[in-house]
Amino acid sequence: MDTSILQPLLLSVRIAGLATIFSSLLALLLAWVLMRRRGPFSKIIDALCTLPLVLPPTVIGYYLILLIGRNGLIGSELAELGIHLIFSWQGAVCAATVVIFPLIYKSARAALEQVDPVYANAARTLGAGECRIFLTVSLPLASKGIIAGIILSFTRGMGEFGATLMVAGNIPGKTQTLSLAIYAAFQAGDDMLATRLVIISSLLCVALLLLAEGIVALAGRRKRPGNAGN
Amino acid sequence: MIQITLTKRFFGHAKDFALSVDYVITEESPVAILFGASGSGKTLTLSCLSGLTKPDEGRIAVNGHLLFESRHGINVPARRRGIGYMFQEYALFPQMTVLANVAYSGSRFFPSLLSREEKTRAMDLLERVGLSRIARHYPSELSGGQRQRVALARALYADPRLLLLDEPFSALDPLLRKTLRHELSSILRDLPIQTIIITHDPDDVDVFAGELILYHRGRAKKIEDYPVRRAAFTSTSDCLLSLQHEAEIMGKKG
Repeated sequence: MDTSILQPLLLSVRIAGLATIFSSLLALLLAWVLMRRRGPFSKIIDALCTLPLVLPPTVIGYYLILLIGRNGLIGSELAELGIHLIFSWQGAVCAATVVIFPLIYKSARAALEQVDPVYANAARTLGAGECRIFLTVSLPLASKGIIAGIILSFTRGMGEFGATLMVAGNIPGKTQTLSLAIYAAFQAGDDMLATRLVIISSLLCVALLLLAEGIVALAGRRKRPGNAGN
Repeated sequence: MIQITLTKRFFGHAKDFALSVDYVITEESPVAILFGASGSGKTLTLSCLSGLTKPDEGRIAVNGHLLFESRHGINVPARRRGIGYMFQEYALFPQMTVLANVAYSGSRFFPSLLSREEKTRAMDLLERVGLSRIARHYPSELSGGQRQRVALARALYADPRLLLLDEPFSALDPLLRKTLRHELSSILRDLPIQTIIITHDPDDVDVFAGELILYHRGRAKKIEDYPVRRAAFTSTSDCLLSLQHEAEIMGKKG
């Protein structure tokens, strides 16, 4: 494979991978905190967590520029430390993290709410603290749904376009991801390259979805009955 | 001595439920039975006792340890109460082996990383309930009776000062019940731990009969002279029926 294909492909994998890791950790932490509180405040946060799912990507990009841009809220502080997120691949990671966050958060929360609370209660009477219960009981019991959500989010991150374009631009070899490269090739009239990129993109997404299916099936085959514990 | 004085109200969609009980279980009888129809508040009482549900008001003390006192805002969290709880469906962690389940209350954060001492201790307990052969199995591979004994071993591993068994036989098929009832009774006899058992099966009362507390619509009445009362009837069921009838009349008066 020549660099015009390999470079955007590897960049996409790197950006989507890092964004998935950051987003997953943040989403699990928030799901845990918000599930334990039932106030109006936690409902508002819950709604905010879903917002990136419905906002146009350009709007997310614009908010991100306000936040991490050179004169942005955090961006100006970071600039003093010599960190510039705008027009860098790290900026693209920020964009992808925000865009895929609701996907992981929603699926993680749904999966965690499916777990019968009797297991957490059993762990409580056995002397376990809340953090230990989450990591050793609730999370493993919800892992199927969470892993499926994470893989879905990774594929969504691979295809991120709008917010990434606004925040990181479309710099070949630097911030040009697979989906941006397709657009650039198409615009430049290089249909041959665009077609090849489209095929690779499609195959990759199908492979990842199959992988998600496989992991879910594998997790189901382990010594874990569907109606756990009965 | 176990002192249970509590009130708890629920405002449900269909109808409200109020639990209001006040009784003392002494050390004289190692096993106390909470008997009553489903929905009479037995499980809720155990849930309050173990710290999983917070009563509206009241006082709970076990062997001199004050666990809950609404007036002084004392409410010891469930994990520090030292009360073993065997749930109705046993609630074994399905993703862990029998061994990891039993040793869960050990010091290790991740239950699969057991130290040698912890493993020995868990294996000893499994040996005691006759299950050391299946230590590496998962709960889904066990029979109902085996699950019950794993759940018992898991609760005992934590060295509880009080053991709560919520309908220990309801998840088993009727033929197994009889055998396991006698098995459990003999295991409990060898334990120096006070036990409270919930049941609505008269046969359980016969086998475990220590102190009897009768539950009826959120109220509880301790039957002080159960052996005497029992002697007047030919079967346990008749005796319990008569006692329940009395409680019903009392409830209407109150």
